[in-house]
Amino acid sequence: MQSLPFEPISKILLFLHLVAAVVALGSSIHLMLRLSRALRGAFFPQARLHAAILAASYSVTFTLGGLIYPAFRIRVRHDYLDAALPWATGLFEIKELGASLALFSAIGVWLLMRAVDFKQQEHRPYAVACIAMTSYVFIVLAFNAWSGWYLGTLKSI
Amino acid sequence: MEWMVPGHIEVDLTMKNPATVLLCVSIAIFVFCGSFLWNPPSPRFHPIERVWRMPGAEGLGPAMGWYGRTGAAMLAGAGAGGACLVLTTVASRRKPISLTPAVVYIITAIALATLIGASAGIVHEQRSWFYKTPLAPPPSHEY
Repeated sequence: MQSLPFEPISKILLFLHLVAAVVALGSSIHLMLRLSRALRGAFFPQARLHAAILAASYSVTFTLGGLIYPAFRIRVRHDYLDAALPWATGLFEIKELGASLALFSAIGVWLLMRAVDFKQQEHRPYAVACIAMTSYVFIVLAFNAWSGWYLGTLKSI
Repeated sequence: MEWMVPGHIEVDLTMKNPATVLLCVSIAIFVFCGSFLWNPPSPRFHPIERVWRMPGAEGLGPAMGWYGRTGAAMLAGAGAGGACLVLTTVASRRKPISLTPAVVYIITAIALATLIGASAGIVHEQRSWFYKTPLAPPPSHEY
């Protein structure tokens, strides 16, 4: 059987994809909670670091997912899901396209956090913008974590 | 080496202003989502043959449109965000850009509505998968 791009190391990449996704999910929850407290005046000294972790872990998750995709597209989607479980293909399509939509938000939160100074009262509205974008990233990550796990129970690479 | 990049100090100052960052990020998100939903013709990857072809190529195996679609949208979004950064840097020479809290909330709401709308558009686009009749029965799990 002909090997697909990155297929020989796809299981390792899938594991790293999972690890990076867990880090991204955790950092998005942490960032949302701490930013909400910062709005009420709490000190958040490592806001930029947490935003950088979110942007980096999301980008790594996204890139690794892209590397795994050729093996998944043929061995799982084409060979099984498309014919036997088309709704699962729909679920996967929503997962991968949603991941693309949240990428700019994850990077945007990091760029915005680099510019926000919580000591300045006039910067508070930008914290709300950060919370809004982080919340969207969190929702996408949570949905993708659930759908990725569920699709894995049906068939995986 | 930073001194070799003309205007790097100005751009750095602009990137330290949350008003310009929010504006540029929001514009990038708006253009990215628009391009992503529009889905212009872009190269597709054929993983079995390991070749890139435009849509409609015949005699090839399954294609992957996600790379091309995401890449095109990222280029458009990054281009729009970069253009916004250049414009705001030039505009900031006269007076640093600042936004009132109400404007910040409105821009945030527009960016969030764009993301939610694009997500809904994706679900709508993929809805046909949920109504398709399976061609092959799933394997039995009774052992």
